Amino acid sequence: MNEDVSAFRRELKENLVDWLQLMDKTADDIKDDEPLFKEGLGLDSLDAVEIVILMQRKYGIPQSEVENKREIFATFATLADFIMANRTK
Amino acid sequence: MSRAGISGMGVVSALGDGVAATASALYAPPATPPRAPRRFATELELPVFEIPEPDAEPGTGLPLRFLLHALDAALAEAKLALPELRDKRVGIAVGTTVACQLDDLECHDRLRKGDVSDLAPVYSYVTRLPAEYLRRRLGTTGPAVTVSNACASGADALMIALEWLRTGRCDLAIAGGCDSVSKVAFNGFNALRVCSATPCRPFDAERSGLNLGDAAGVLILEDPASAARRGVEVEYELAGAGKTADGFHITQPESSGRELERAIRIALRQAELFPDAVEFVNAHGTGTLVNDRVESAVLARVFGDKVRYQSTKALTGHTLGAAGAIEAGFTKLMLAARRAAPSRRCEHPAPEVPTPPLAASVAIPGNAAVSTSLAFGGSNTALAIRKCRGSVPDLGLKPLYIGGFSALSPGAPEREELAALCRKYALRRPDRLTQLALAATEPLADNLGGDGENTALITVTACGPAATTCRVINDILDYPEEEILPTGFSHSVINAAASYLSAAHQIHGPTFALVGFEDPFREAADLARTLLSAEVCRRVLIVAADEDGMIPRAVETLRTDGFPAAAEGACALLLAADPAENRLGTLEFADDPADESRSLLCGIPKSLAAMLETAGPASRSTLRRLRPAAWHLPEGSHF
Repeated sequence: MNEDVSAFRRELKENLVDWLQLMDKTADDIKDDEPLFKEGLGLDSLDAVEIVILMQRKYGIPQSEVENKREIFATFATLADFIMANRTK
Repeated sequence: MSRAGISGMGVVSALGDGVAATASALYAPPATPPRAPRRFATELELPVFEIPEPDAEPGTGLPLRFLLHALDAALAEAKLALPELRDKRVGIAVGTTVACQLDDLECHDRLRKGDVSDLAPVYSYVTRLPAEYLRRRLGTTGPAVTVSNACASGADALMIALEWLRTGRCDLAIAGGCDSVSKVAFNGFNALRVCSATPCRPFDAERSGLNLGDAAGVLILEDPASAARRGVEVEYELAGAGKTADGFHITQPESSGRELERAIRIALRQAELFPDAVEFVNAHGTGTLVNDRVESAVLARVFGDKVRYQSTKALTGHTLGAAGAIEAGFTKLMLAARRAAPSRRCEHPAPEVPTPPLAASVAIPGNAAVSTSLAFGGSNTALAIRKCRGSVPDLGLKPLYIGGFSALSPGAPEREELAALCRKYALRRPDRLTQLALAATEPLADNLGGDGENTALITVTACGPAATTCRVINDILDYPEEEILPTGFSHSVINAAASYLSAAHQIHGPTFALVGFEDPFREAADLARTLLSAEVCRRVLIVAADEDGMIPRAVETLRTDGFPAAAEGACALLLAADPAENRLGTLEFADDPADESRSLLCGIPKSLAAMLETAGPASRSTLRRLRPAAWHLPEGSHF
């Protein structure tokens, strides 16, 4: 994995813990290939709504580009890769 | 010892202003569909039920003005003038959501920029919490609680009043609820994806959510014999109340509806009713997918597949803290008219609804009905209203035993300690106030004893989840054209901590989130004594908490009584009626006011904490009244 990708993933994990105010997880608990929802990180549908809003606010990715694209949220790695490839800020 | 006869009623909602207009509109509703909000600018195309505003009163927010309007009508119907009220021991219980949080966006924007030139909205906020304000305005001296249990608040205020009367805690109660469509709630409910873009359709296959609405409702409750002395004939009484907690999720009802069913059965038992004596149910029926599915299944389970029920929310919208109060009023009006009203806009009943709601009004031969309320945080309330009984069992006030006390030491727990607790109880994202409440409760966890159905929870706060509320308002101010973050909103409701605590400790008895600036901790202990004496539960956990933030700091700048409170902290007190649970002795109440420091904004006297630290089973601790806080409106501020 190149350094940019790995640094961004680290940053995004810390941001997710901070933005979502996850109390039961630290950045280290978020595994790259673990599902974000249910049995993985345990996020729910309202968390998904928040992540979509935060992607727009923090990375300039319009909500319309994300809606109904469940594959983006498959794992932490798919989410991180999508943000890296599509961020405008 | 009294029955809770309904001697007066005041109600204002989209169904009309006053009892007469409301009673006829239940059967022939005005053709006024909800429309986009007029009172505030918004990008969201969501219809709401706004109603005309009563005359302005300087510094008084809209929910309280609706409440005062309804109160005047209720007192007039009960033929009660102020001197007569002041001769009685009067309890005041009001449910609300909007009126107990400072949601003035302009004020908030000024404060966050450090501009304290106009603190009038903060002054209004601390001096006009509905129940405390009514007690001051009417000059009464009994208990006064503002309860903010989200969408069940109004029903919960009625339940509190009922238990006060059953235990002889007061001679007469003024109880109800009030709310108005506010920008914060409007954006918040939209973020939770529960608002319908069209007029709501409770129980319909095509339902897509709720519409918010303005309303207030007040009932005067007293023994029919006492009303008769003023020439007021009382026909119906609030005869039973059941309240339970799902302990499951902060915004979703538990899917089996088990705890809602238990609440209804408790209300029926208290009212001495078998299910088949209930003519109809005024359902919560918000029009959301989950509520209507779970609720209709429970109604069919309890009352059978011939159950008659309606939702009146298609006519009023969801009026949040007022809903339970106005709907109890509607229930009484339908009983008095001997006709159950139809449920509107349910054209194609949903397939998952076992029995469709009433399609047309129907004559009812009997004398009893039920009204249900389901709130955020899995808080279920059922009220049973029936023709007055001749007499009811006599209850008295019982001694209170202290089963445990714990307070956070200054400096609060470290983040890692809080995180460990969250992991222990599988709470992923609880807000700060909840974390403090959880940490204060932890030393008592073993004393809670696993009898969750018979344990009640009362949370007490002054400013509630202050930092979370600020985040929600910042969100609205900073991103005016976007959705706000839904979890921020669901954590900013006053009963979020109660919801999380009931889930963490599997507390399934009644939960009440009380808000106050005038000795609310004492009101909570007093309410605990009432609940235990009424045998509504076997033990009560009281958790008082306040968190630091911009609003509590602004509040403290208005204080002139010289008793500044700590910015942040929490404590937990476990009370029981069974001497077997006595660990720290008895708790007694003294009415003479104490001039002493309090350890939090919500008023825990420092002397109590000191007393309990060294208490044992033979101790007698006294909870004195705190001298009412004094507040000052600074120069330059104006209404």
